[in-house]
Amino acid sequence: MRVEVSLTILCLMLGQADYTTAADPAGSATRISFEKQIAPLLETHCIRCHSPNNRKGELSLETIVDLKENGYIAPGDPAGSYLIDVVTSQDGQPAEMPKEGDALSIEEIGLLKLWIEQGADWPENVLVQEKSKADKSWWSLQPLGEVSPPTPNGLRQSWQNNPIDAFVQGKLSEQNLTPNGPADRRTLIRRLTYDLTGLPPTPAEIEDFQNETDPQAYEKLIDRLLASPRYGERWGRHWLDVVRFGESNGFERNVIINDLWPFRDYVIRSINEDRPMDQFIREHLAGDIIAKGKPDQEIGAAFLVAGPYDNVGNQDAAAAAQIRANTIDEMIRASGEAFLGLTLGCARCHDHKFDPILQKDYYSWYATFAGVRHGSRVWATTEQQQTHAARLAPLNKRKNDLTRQQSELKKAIAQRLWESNDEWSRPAVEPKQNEETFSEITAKFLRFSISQTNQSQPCLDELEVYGPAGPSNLALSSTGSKATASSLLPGYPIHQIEHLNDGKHGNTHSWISKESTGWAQIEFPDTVEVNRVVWGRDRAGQYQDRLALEYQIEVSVDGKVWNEVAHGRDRKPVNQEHLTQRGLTSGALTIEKKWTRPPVDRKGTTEKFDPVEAKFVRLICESQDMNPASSSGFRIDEFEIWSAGPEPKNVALKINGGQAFGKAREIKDFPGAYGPHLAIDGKPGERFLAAENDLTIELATTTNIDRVTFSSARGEPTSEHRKFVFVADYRIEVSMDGKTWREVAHGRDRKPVNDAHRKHRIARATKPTPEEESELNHISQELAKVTREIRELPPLKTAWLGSRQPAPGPFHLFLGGSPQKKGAEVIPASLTTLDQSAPKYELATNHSAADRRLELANWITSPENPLTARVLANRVWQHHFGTGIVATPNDFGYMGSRPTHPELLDWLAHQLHENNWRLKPLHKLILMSQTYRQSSLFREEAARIDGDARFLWRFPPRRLSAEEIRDTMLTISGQLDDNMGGPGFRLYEYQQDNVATYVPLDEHGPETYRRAVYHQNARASVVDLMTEFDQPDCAFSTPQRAETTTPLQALTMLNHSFTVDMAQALAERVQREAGDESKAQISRAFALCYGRQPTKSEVTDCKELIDKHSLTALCRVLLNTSELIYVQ
Amino acid sequence: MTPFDITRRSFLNNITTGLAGVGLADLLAQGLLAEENPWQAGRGMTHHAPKAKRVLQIFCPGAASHLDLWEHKPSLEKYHGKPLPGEENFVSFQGKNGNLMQSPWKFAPAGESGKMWTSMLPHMSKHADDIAFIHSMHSKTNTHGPGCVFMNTGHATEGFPAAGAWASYALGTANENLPTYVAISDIRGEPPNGKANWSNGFLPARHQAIMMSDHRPIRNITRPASINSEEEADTRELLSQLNRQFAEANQGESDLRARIAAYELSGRMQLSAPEVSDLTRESASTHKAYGTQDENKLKAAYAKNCLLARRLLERDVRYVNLFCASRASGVDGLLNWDAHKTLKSDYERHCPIFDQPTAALLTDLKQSGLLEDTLILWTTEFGRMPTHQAGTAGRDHNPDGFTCWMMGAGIKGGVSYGATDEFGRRAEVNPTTVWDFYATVLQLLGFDHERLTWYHNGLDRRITDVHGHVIEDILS
Repeated sequence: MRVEVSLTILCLMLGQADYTTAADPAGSATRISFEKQIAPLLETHCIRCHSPNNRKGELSLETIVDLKENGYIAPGDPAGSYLIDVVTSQDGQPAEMPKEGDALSIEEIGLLKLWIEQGADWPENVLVQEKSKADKSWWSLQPLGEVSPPTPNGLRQSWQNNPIDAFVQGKLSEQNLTPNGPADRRTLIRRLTYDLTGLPPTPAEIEDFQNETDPQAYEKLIDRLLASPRYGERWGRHWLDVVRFGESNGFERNVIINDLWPFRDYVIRSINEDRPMDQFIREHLAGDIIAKGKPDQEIGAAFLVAGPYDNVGNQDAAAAAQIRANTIDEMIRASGEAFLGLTLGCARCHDHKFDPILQKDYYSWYATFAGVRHGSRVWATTEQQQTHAARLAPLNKRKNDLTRQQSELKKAIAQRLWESNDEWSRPAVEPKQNEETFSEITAKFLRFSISQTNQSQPCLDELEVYGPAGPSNLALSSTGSKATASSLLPGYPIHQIEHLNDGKHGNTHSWISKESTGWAQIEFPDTVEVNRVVWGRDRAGQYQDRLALEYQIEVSVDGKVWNEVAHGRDRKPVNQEHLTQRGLTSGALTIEKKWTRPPVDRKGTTEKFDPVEAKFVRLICESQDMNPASSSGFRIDEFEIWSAGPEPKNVALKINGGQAFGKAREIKDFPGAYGPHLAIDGKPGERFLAAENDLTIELATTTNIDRVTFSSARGEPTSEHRKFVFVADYRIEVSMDGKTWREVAHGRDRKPVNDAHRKHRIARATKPTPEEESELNHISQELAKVTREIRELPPLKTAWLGSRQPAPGPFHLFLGGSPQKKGAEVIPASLTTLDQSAPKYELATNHSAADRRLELANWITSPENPLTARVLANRVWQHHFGTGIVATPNDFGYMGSRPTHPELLDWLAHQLHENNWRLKPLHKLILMSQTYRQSSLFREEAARIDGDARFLWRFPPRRLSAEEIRDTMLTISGQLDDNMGGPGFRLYEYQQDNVATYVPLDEHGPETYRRAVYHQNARASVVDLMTEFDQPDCAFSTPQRAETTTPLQALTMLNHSFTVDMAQALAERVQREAGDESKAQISRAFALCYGRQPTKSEVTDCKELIDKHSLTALCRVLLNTSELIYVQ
Repeated sequence: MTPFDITRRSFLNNITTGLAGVGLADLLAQGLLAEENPWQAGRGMTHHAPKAKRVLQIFCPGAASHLDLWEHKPSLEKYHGKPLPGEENFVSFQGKNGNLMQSPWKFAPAGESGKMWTSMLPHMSKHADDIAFIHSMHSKTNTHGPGCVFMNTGHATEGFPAAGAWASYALGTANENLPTYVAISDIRGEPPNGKANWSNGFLPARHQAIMMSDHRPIRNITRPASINSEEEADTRELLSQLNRQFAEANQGESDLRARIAAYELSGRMQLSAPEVSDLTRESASTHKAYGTQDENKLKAAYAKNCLLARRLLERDVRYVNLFCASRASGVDGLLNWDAHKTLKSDYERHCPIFDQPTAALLTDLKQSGLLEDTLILWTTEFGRMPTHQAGTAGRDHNPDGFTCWMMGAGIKGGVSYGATDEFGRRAEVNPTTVWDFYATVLQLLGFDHERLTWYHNGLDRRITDVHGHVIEDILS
């Protein structure tokens, strides 16, 4: 850390106690002064983490309360005080505390011990608190000064017209510096054109300007450039950096965002239209509120969700809460830095250490943004939305009608089949009374299990059991039989288990289970012969609910082995719903009888068949076990094909010459990750993941085979997991030529693997009549048609505006930044940081989330808020001169740099106000100054005083930005496509397999020849030229681009095909415009690239390269030169 | 302000915009380097005498299980199938957890230190006595992407410089023909959050890692096929001449000279990179030791990257990130160490890829003497749960306890520092943070981590944030 944390004591002079003169009980040492000796020590080492708003380890050292309550100190007994232990180094180990910063010295520990020994006196009126380095008197927090330009000595004649020059000269004089003379016209037009449009001037424009005699020529040039749509593309890009605009969500998944570009267009459009910046900023924070139904302005609020956020999902509730807090934190930081130049994020865990920003200020913004969520939503005018709804409504109605017809017809088919179903031989169950008869059997126990009722938990009012011996009910408790149940409904004496066999009928004497399924059981006093059961839900006939629909009756002699004696499956369903629930749409029981073999087994399924000659064997999946409607997505870890004969061999194996085919799921950055070869590699750990419905094995030679075995979870202890999705229905086919196939085995006679599979099979077996079939087909066609019409209806546009939720309060600050530790309540309010210079507001908790953001937006853009205009004026200055008056444009606080020209900054901020927050007048004012117009000539003696020209003794030259370099290459080669707006182009290939991957393109086609501001900038993607030349990653706000020089730039500029393509195009253009003569070609190429004529020696050197190689070779050289990418 | 008093910040910006030796030489020539500071970034100077001159950081993304690879827990065997005391039915990243699950593999003592070693890493066991394990690492996130970025940059959000970028910034280059910092990604793809793991963050772009691997050379390193070598030479010559003339006409701009040097370095890199990547220069026995011809193509590819890493270190590349495995795929645990459902079969796939080549690389470094001033780091983003995930035979994410290790320059071998609790659920003895880890790395490189800073958006940033204690117990 450059700056030591500075702390102070807050002494509340409530009492008049004099600590220094108190009696010394120990009598051996000087009385310790808590205020002078102990408090500073706690402040230096402890308070940062142990304050009321952080309270690490549940300990605050603001007062003595926590120390005492948690037993850290035993007054009078330092040896018995835990506080001393934790700050003392023991056994050569560093002291446990402090976790951050320097350990306590021996002397300091000695002081602490003495203090405890003397009774640990901590006066009540002394609070130990951390204080920020800067307070509210910090320069940037003061109201804008009423400044007028100075009148420095030695102001040149030409420098007397523009107040800016007077401010600048004032500082230059203080430093004993003098400014340069004016730059030449070629330099000026090049500088100005790049500055305002990010593009080079054309040779014709340069020539015209050089020859212009109009004294207003320079001013007219500024006006022309400010009016150019290219201006918004250039200055919009500056702003997009500031607001960390990025078109993927970042973090692990980093999924691309395809509808955030409207925000980019909004920024460019607003800058071109010179929209007042206060309005612009208000729209960023609250466009969705103030411009509801006006998409062009509403989109400004996409700012809130234009940053990175973690969408990976987390089942751990504490981690999920932390992620959400991080997401809001991102909005707070971005807003604070962009609009106010304040690093609010530093106040998340504790009060800001450097600036007067309280932790409660931070959480007041947290409350303000709490309703904002990331995502897309409809982005259209109210009228568009109404029109769309009006067109959609009749289509949706038709679709619903058809769907209903279809459903009714299907029901009718099912109904008929049900009625004709002879498998359901017994009548449906009745609420009053039902009888079950079965063959005589010996029983000590009889259990009635209910797996489904028509409604609520099952109820039996009586369970009667009879035997061949006669008409007496063997179950009655009076005969010694005992009733038990799986569960009991608590709190209802009338529904307890003893009513099951008490011989009394009706609801008030019944058993009800606590769970939705359950069983009731009779234990007879001795084994008996039984053959009949009578049961009912309510024989009084009052209640019809809780009726057992699906049930089973079992008997047992030992209570362990049970035999089923009766069930409800052969009863008719009670109603249509019951029918549907059974999943029976046809003679299900008949079908089920055909399922004789065990279900497929993910750990290994074998099919044997008569020996057959085969060159090809294939597995065709008819339904997949997690989703029987699908026949793809299954996995195979091994597929074995065994030769017939005495020594069978797995001929599918790759090492035995087998080859596997089948379309697999693909990942581009790791081809073959799920390929069919994994099914014949002899290793079960990795699996083929089918993208279609087949896996085909070609054998080395035609072989006589009689068996296949295949699996998806061989050897896996948890084979039921989704990870091992397998085939449910399949067939095995063989072929000699790979064209004609013969089925040798299938799994259709296997039992289903799960209920969904069972229902799927039954549904598939449904056979409507030809009339019904034709009707169904007709409905399907109509449905498809209307669905297509709906799909083809131009959808309402969506944009990445995020959703808004009510997010009602109350809100709390999070102690130490942890959402798990709520601190004091906070309300949405203006920053206390500015309460001495800007207006204040506080919102009660009943204000809506919209109110909260709107109020903040209005507060930030209030003309009395000194930061907003200062920060903005500084950004404008920075982009004209390379460095701001404050060199840290996002940080006007203590850690930021101080303004070189504070009065000028305030004067510029006033200008912004006076011009109704419009930027163009401010640009013009700056550009018209002599300060801007001076040359960039380097002067040794001036550089010795001010190497970076912060005082502007010269115009600071600069390298072009990444976008300017690419745009320049496209422009001079005549390839630039200047279409504005719309979805961006990509210089990478986008891949997604759970997470997103961005692979830079080796070739850039003409579809990418638009201005770089229209590139779809995904986070954490490398795109050669752009990344190499310091285009930021937009993980967070980038107020100022770096200008680095690396060998990778050289490699990219020399070798990437884009440069070669541009060199070729430039050569063609030069040839077209200058003819075949090489001197003319060189002259034209220099004019296009540098806006100047070549020197004689340059002509000689360049001609040599053309003659020896080609004009293209020369163009490649020129595109790589420093002169091309430097502005002076 | 005295004439020669340039601010520290502008000095740094100045020197880092140039290349090593270039921007600096300028400043020296101009007498701008008043010797008032004992240390300046990028000059190969250090705060104190370094033990290590270069670093190899092996990273196994996907959260490689500390319990199955490095930290043996007898209690997992004893209480296998029993609930985790105090945390029955707890929910973590992917959902509910089941009961305790022992490692599918046996552990046995290895080396003179007798370190309990898994049977899955037989080759690595030979280095048991050279490794200093840190068994008490813990992370602040349970998500792969932020976890990887946290482990590599000291911050869980993107945009911060990786350790290698800090080393590049601190030390500058030691080889004018090769990049200072190289990231070797796995043939299976990039790790979670990709390039953020070797980003320069807010440091100048020259400090980002250059990506190269056996399967993917440095991007744009080869000249276009349409241009022959003579044209290339003439092109470079004319370019250099034009750039020199421009720089001479603009005497004050040091970055114009830096640019000339950058082109020269790019030319040298074009020559050196193919040389360093040319593994055919290695002996057959070396290839065999690493396993570069292994029939397991993934293992062979990683083995080649191990060999490439050694060749880079030999040529004084300062910092090499070597990745073994990649990102989260559609099937977890397939492409990296993220064994949620099928720990056994997943690790039976990953361990053999990692084991022999890594062990061979370490042996090679030791035999050649390079290990004496090379620091080896083995890292992953967090650990795994001692329980199995409900309904599976895998383990969920565990940010509260995991293992990393160090070896080589300045490191005491055969040491196990810190520990998780009885079951491996949480770091318990000497809990160690990522910041402690890098404070120690910087210490070995000759730096006081609190003094290696860069101003960014309001703070003088460090890789150790506002934390970090050097782990003295593992230093030799």
